[in-house]
Amino acid sequence: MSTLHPLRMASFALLAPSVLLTLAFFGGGLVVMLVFSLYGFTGGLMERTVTGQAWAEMATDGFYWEVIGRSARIAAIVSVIALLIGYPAALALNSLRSPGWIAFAYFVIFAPLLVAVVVRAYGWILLLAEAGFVRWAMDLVGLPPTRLLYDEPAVIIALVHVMLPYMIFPIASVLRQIDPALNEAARDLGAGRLRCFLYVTLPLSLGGVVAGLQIVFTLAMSAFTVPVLLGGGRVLVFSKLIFDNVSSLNWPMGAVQSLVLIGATLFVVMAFELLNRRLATTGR
Amino acid sequence: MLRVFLGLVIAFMLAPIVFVVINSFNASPLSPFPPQGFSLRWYETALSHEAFRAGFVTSALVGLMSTALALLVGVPAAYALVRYRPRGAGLWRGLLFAPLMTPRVTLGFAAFVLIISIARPLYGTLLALALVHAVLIVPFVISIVSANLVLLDRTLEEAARDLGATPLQAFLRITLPQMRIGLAVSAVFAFITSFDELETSIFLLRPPHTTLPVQMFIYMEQWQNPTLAALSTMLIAGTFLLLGLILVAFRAGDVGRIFANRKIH
Repeated sequence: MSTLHPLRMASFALLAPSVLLTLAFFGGGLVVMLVFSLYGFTGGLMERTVTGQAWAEMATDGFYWEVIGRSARIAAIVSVIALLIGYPAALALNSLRSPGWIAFAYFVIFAPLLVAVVVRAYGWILLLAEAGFVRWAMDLVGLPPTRLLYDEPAVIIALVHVMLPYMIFPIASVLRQIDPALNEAARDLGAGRLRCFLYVTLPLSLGGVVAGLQIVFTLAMSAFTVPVLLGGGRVLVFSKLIFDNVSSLNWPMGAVQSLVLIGATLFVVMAFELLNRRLATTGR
Repeated sequence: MLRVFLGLVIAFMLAPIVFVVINSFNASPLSPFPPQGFSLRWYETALSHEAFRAGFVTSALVGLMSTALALLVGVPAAYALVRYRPRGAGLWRGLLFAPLMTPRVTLGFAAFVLIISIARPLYGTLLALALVHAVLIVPFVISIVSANLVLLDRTLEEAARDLGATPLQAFLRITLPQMRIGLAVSAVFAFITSFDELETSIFLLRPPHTTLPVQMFIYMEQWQNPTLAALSTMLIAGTFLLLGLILVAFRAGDVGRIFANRKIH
């Protein structure tokens, strides 16, 4: 539409409440957090004097970087597994023809997003416990007993479960937009199913793959509930570290770490964004 | 082959939920599989557990408040972005959607430090949490309502304007009724998202006056008897009930069309 003055004013007025709300709590919160990150921490309480000691501690203490490394590593593993499971699932979703089955499949895959993460985490605790279903099934098949729960494997499995819809959605969306005539043309020219997939479908779907990886990696990197509940204290991730610092009133450190986590998230988002641009321009 | 794989994926997605429901009836407090005996006592325990009851009320109140807030500010924003296409729309959209890409824990902590620095009286109130949840929910509302708006026939609005209606009248009497589905869907999504929220709530409300997910989180760190399963099953049932209400109130096809049209942001 046009941008005549009364319309411009109207659109600003309509946008103002939501923008102000977000600026206030989101923007304002970040500003205060930045200020807090510079304060000192002595005698177990924050001191409102600018010392920058938390930043110094963050930069030099290897322990914190180990935790970041763990979060990133888990996020990477979860992303790769989610991709390996999610891509074929998206392909399968896209190949469904009957509207009834399509609706059912989409519902079952995406409805769990509306069930609270605590509930789903509890479900995985039940499944992966010593007395749970997975161990029972493993015994049945004759697999050796390995500890799953309260360690990294359980965290990864549960995170994959939580992240899978976020991986499937962008890939399925992109696959849906690929013109079937392209595959037909390839088949007509003599290509087999595999070649069709590798040379037509896969390259055209990379945008969705990158989008999915972007979302899953950033969400997994900042995950809190699942690693805490399923890790049993053995899987210390960065979000838990932030929470622990805040709980022990070390707000400057909490602020520093929060800003580092935001920075890392931004970095990952932009890195994937660049990857997407590169893929688009090389025409693959 | 691919369909078999999809079946496995579906089983994987449903597994934790199904097992929670099964375990809620497990007579044994140690939650073994296969379940040993059938019992309803965990439902009794869950319904009489004081912390859970208080948590439920808190979550419901915060959910209602944040949904109302998010709709109140989000619907006009969506209308402006879709109908007026202001310059810098990308910037506004980026700002409004930024909270989605931010780690929830940092959002919670940021809101916490903001409130204790600038709005001390608000600390510990349900309103404060509702405002923070609203910030999280607004992007969803804008997405869904925009998708709905785009599907509407503008000529009806323009006809109303031609017949002398003010923009507000045209909106209230022509556009809004047509957006019933988008409004209902975003309201339900908003409420559920707020209800389920944990990582922001945990910074703004201290136990015992906190939301239900936080109560469950605390409980889960110490005990794991099927009381949690019973409570979870009731929550799952409630969620699907809300979803079912939407599908019953509106034709499933109409609801589906809104989602089919959405582009991933």
